Amino acid sequence: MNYSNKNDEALIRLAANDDSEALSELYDRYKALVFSLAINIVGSHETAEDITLDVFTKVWQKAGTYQSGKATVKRWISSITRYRSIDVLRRRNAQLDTSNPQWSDFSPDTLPARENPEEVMELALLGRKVTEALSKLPEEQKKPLALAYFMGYSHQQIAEALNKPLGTIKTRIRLAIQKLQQELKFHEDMNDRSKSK
Amino acid sequence: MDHTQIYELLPAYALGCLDDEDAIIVSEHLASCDKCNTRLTAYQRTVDLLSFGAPRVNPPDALKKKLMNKIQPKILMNNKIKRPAKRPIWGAFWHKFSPVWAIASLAIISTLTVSNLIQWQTSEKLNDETAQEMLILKMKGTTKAPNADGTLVIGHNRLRGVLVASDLPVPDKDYQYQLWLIENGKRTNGGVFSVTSNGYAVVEVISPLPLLNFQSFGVTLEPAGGSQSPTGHQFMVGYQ
Repeated sequence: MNYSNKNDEALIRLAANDDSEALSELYDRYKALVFSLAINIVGSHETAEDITLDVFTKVWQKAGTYQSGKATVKRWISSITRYRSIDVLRRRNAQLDTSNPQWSDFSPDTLPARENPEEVMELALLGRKVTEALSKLPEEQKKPLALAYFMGYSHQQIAEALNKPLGTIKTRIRLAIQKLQQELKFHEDMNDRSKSK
Repeated sequence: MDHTQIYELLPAYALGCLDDEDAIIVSEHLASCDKCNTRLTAYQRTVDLLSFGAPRVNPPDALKKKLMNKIQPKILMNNKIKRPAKRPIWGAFWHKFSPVWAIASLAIISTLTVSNLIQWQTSEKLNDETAQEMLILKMKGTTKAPNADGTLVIGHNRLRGVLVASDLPVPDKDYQYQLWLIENGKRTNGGVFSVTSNGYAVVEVISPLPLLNFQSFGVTLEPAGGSQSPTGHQFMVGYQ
């Protein structure tokens, strides 16, 4: 069976039936996404490796519960990664830390080099669209957004960490997400449609 | 808190950064407001895409082996569970009807064999079809850019692709690169693009005709905004 030609949902169905080759293919497709997100949140290679293992083990164990109507496989996996990483971060360090998270500036190193062509195309486009959209945000919105997304900080914690009024932080985050939503709308649709190919 | 105020909290709710008190109020409102639920879903999609905004790093190769080793116990355990259970009662039953069962079995096996053959042929055919879905074309730098390298990935419907170019010279700000799709000498615009300070670019290619119709592809340097037809030197070229 050629797994590289199967779409994500087909692979999840196979994984739910204990097909380890399907998990292997999903790992190849999303290892960089998961590891990159984890390392950007926890800041340590070793912990990011543990999280990557945890995430794919969870994908393996919970494949049978995946609901395609709620999110694409890609979004499901990235959501598991984000929450798992933030959870690890919270357990490890209760103090506010504003130094770690950062948005990508999309360099040649960001291109997946050895993955399948379809992934190269989709990820390259998505990466470019997202970084372009982020680059259009003013710096004053990027930092609170990064603290909320990567560190899981609340409005109040971000206001304390950046020493800004709570209302200012609320406004900046709202404007940032609204702006990104406009910028990425086309790609969200494309991304959702791709799950049914 | 009225509907408008809650509406404004939805981006932060999607991001998961509302303080507890606000999050509870929004959750309660969402239970009875379809409009806010629809809006929230849109924001959640945006938030989910932000994972692509993290600087990209590949995990070490050894990690995959660790993962596969980690999941093996589940496979072994499940195989054990799925093994047929004891069958003394059924064994006696089937023994009684063994001649009938033998004929029925033969019929079932024959049917399954034929069905499997058909399925196998269909599956092979599908695999062959899907295997042709993606196409990669390499582009090489010309003497103007000997180190340049390009990969054109042609998508499923053949009308869309992506060019990933690296090590192109960084031009003056008044110039941009332009991709040309070439068919029988006729050049069609495939997209105008700039490169990063490292000479790198990712270009979405949308073609009016299937990309396989074009015999070759070229990248030239043109005045910013692009040209109707090539006017500058060629920096990369690729052939089907």
